Amino acid sequence: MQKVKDTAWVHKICAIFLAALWMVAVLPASWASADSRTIKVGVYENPPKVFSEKSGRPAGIFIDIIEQIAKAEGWKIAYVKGTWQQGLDRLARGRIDLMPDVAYTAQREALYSFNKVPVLSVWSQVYARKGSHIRTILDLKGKRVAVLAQSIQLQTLKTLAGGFDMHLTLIPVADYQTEFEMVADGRADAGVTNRFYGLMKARAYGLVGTPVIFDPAPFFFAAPRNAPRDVLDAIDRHLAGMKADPQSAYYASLRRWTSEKVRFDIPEWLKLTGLLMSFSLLASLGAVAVFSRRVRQRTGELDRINESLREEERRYRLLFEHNPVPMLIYQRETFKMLAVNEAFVHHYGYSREEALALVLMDLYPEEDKERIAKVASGLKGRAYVGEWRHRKADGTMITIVAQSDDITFWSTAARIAVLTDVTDRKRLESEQKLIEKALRKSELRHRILFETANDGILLISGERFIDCNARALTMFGRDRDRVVGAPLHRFSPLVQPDGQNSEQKAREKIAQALSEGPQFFEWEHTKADGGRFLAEVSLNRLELGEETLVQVVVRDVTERKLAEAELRESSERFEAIFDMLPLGVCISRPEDGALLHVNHSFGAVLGYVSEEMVGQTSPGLGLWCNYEERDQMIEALREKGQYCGEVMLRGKDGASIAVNLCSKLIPLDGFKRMLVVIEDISDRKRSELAIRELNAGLERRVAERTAQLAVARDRAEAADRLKSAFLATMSHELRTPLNSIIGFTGVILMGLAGPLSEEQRKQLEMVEKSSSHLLSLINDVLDISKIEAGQLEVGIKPFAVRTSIENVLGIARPLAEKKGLSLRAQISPEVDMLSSDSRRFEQVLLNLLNNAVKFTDRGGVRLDARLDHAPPGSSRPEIRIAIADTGIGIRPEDFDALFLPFRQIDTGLSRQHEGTGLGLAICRRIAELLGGTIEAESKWGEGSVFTFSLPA
Amino acid sequence: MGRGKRFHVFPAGLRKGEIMKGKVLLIEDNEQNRYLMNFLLEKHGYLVIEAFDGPQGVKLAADELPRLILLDIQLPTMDGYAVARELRKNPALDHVPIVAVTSYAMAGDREKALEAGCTGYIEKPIKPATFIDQIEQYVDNAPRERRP
Repeated sequence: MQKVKDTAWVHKICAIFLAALWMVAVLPASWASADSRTIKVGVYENPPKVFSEKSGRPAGIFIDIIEQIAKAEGWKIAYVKGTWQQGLDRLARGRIDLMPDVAYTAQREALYSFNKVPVLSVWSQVYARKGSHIRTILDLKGKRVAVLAQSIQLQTLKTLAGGFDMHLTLIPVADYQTEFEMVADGRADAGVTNRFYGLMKARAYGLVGTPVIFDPAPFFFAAPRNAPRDVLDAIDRHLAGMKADPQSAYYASLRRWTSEKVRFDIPEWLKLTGLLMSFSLLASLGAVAVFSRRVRQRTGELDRINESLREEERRYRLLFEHNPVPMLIYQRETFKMLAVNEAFVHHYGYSREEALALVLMDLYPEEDKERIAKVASGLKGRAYVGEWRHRKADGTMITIVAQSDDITFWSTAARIAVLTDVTDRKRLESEQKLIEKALRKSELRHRILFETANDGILLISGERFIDCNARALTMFGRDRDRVVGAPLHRFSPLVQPDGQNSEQKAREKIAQALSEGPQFFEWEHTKADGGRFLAEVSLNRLELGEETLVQVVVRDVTERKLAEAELRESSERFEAIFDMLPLGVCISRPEDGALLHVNHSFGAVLGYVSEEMVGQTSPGLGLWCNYEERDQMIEALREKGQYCGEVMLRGKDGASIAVNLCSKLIPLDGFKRMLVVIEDISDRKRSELAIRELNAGLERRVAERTAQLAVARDRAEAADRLKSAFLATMSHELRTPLNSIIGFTGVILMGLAGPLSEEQRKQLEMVEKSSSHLLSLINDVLDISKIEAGQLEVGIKPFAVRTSIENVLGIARPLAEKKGLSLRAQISPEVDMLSSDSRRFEQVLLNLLNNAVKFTDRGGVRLDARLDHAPPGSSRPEIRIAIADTGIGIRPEDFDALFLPFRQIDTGLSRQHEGTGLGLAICRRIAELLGGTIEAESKWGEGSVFTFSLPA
Repeated sequence: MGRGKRFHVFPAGLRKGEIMKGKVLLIEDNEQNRYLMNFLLEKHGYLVIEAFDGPQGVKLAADELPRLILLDIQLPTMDGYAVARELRKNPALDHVPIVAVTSYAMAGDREKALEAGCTGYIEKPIKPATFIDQIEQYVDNAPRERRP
C-alpha cells in the first residue's frame, strides 16, 4: 500500500511537470486579414516545430499555424528552405517575410520584429551518451558541448558558464541532427536541443536526456526589422483566438505533433502520459487516475518501470527546482502558495519561507489585485496565458508573462504557473516607440517652421531651385512647379540696381556662399506680374547627407524701406518743429547730463547759440545755479519719472535766470533719455516782486490809516458819549424851570389865582407862547441830537392807528379853527392796527399837520389815510397818510433843503412862521427809523402834499 | 422825615362842608412843582398829602391809603421806579393808581414806569388846563374803596 502511494505521488509529480511542459509548449495565439498576398516563410529542420517531410513538404507546429492563419487572411505561402542560419540571414536582408520558431532576445530585437503572442515556450535540455553522469550544469565543466549556432541555447550556455565561472567548450553547429551525430560518435560530450526535438530523436542516436533543463524560451514568428507590422499583428490576432479555443487548429496541431510521434519513441510510462495528453492534459487528475488504474492493472509492468519512474521523479523535482525560470504552484481554491522554485526565490527576492506564506495576489500591485483574483477564479479547467505586473520583495515592479494550468499537487487542486520576465523587452519596446514619436515630432516641427516662416526659403542644388516653402511662392507669385527646377536668376530682373548682371552676380554669390561662408546682400526680385520688390537675401551652405545645398532666405524689405523713408521724413519734420518751438527744449542723457539735442529757444533763454551746447554736459556748462535743485529734480525723476518746478539756471554770461523747468524720462531710439522744457520766467518774477512790494506798501499805509482812524473813532465816541450825557442832563435841567413857568402861567391865566386885567392876560399869554416855543425848541434839539448820535430808540408795538390819527387831529384842530381853516380827514376802513412806535408816529403826524396849518392862510388841510399795496421789494402793504394843504407851497429850488435841519425855508415873510426848523428833518429821520418814508410834492403858491408811509 | 403836611384849603366855587374828592399822595422833591400840583389839586377838591422823597412816600402811602399817588421819577436816594416797585409790594395799595409825572421824556421811559407798577404817565411840564382831567381819568378807572 505504501508502495502504491509512493508511486501515485511520483506519477502526480510527473503529471504536473508534463502539464507544465505541455503548457509552456502550448502557449499562445491567432491571426487576421490582409489582401491576397504572398508571404515568404523560411523553413529549416527543427522537428516537430518546423521541418520538411520526406515528400519535401514543409510540416510542423509552426507550419500548421501559419497555414491556418494564411487561409483565414487569404495569403499565399511560399516556403524558402534552408538552414537556421540561412533563414535568419534571409530574414535580415528582407528576402523572406517570416521566419518561424525564433526565440526572442534583445539582440535579435535589433535585427527583427517579433509577433507578440508566443507560439510555443519550449525548454532546452542537455543530451548525452548513456552513463555520462551529467547531473547538473556544473557537470558540464571542461566538456565539449555542441550547440546550434546563433541559437538561444548557445546564448544561455555562454551566460550560464560565465555566471558559474566555468570553462566549457561550445561547438556551434548548423542543426540538431549534426549535434546528436557528434555526441553519438564522441566528437562532443553533450548537445543541447529543445525538448521537442530531443524527445523525438535522442533515442535514435543512443543518447539520453540529462537533468540539465533550462530556458523555456518563448518562440515567435520573426519578420524583417522594417517590414510593416500588419502580418505580425494578424498572426497575434489569430493566435490569441486559437489559444482561447481548445478545439482550435492550434491545439490540434500540438496534439498531433507532440503525442503521436513522441509516443513512438518514448518509454512505456511516457506512452501512458502521452495518451493522457492526447485526451486532455488539462484534466491531470483524470490522467493520474487512469494512470493509477493502469498501474494497478499492470503490476508486472510496474515493477519493470518502477526504477525508471523513480529516476524520472527525481529528475522532474530537479527540473522544477533548478529551472532558471521562476515557477510556482498555488492552491486553486485559496490561492495559497504551495511551492516555488529556486529561480523564483532568486528572481523575486523572497526567502522560500516568505514565499510559501504568500497568496497569489500578494505578488500583484494593489490596483491589479482585484482583477487577478477575478481572472484566477475563472481559470479552472483551462490553460491560461496573460501579461501582468508583479511586485518583487524589494518593491520593484516587473512585467511577466504568466502561463498556468491545473495540476493536482499532494491531492490538492492546484495550478502551476511559469513566470517569464519580459520587463526589459517591454521597456525596449516603449523606448523605441518614444524615440520614433520624438523623431516624427521633430520632423513635423521642422516642416512647420519651414512652411510657416515669414521669410521665403529656397534650396539650391547646383544652379537650380529644388525646393521652397509656401512663403517663397507667395513672394514670387508663382506655383511650386514653376519655382522648383527654375534656374537661379529666374525671379530677378536682367540687371540689379547696382548695374550688375543678375545671373552673373547670382552665380558669384552662390560660389562665395559655398567657399567662404554665409552671404548677406540686397537683391531685387521680380514677380510673375512683372512687379519688383527689394529683398534681403542670405545664402547658407547646407550639407544634407551626401548632397551640398545652398539655402536661400529671402526677406521682402519693401515695406521696411518705405517705413525707413517715412521715419526719415518724420524725423526731419520733428527736427523742424523742435527747433521752432518757442519753449526751450532739450534732450539729454540722464547718466551724465550730456545735451544731445538743443533747440533754438533753449539756447536763447540761456544766452547760447544752441549748436554750441550740443555735446556739452550740464555740469560742464555750469547750468545749475543751485545743485540742490538739480538733485531734487533727479530724485523726482527717479520716483515719479517726471519733474516740474521753478529753478535758477546760469546763463552764458553768468547771470542767474529764473526758469520754470519740466523734465521727464522718455524712451528714445531704444535709450532712456531726459526731455527738458524750460520757460524763462525772470520777467514774471520781476513783476511779481514789484507787485508784492507795492502790496506791502499799501498794506502798511492801510494799517497806519486804520490805526489813526481807530484813535479818531475812539475820540469821537468819547465825545459822543459826553454829548449824550450832556443832552440828557440839559434836557431835564432846562425843562424843570419851564415846568414852573408854563404851569403857573397856565394857572394864572385860568383865573385860579384871582381875576386878571385884560392887559395882564395879554402879557401872560405872550409868556405862555414863548415858553411853549422854548419847550418845543428844547425837545426838538434833544430829538435831533439823539437821532444824530444814533441814540433815538423806538419801541415797536401794535396799536390802534385810527385812534392815534384821531388824537393828533384833535390836537391840531384848535389851531386850524383859530385860523379859520377847514380840517378834514378820510380814514379808509382797512386802516386799523399798526405795529410801530405810536408816540413817534403821532409826533410825525402832528408835526406834519401843524406845518400844514401853519403855512396855510386860506382854504384848508385834508388828511387821507389808506392801506396800499406792498411796494416793490417788500411783502408788507403800506399805510399811506397824505396831508394836503392849500398853502403857499414850496419853490422847486427849495426842495433839496426841505428836510435838512435848521433850514426853515425862507418864505419871504421872514420869521413870520415860527419854528425851530428842525421839524421836517426829525420827521424824516423818525419815518426812516420806523422803516417808512416821507415825501413832499408842491406847487409854489398852490399848496403842498406830504405823504407819510409806513409798513403795515 | 415824616414832615407830612395837611392843607385844608377850600377851593373856589366849593362851599364849606362839601365832601372832598379824596386823598392824593404827591411824591415830588421839587418845591415849585409840588406847590403847582398841590394848588391845582386842592382847587379841584382833593386832599393832598405831600412827601419829599421815596421812603417818606412809601411810609405815607401805607399810613394814609390815598386814593391816588402822583410820583416824580427823578428823586434823590431812591428813584421813582424803585418807589413804585416798593409801593406795589404793599397789598393794601393794590387798587391805588400810581401816576408817574416826569420830565424824563426819553424813549422807553413810559414803558419802564408801567413795568415798575405805575398805572399812568404824565409828561412834564404839566398843562394846568388839562392836568386834572388827565389824573381823573385814572382815578375814575380805579375801583373806589370805601373805608369803614
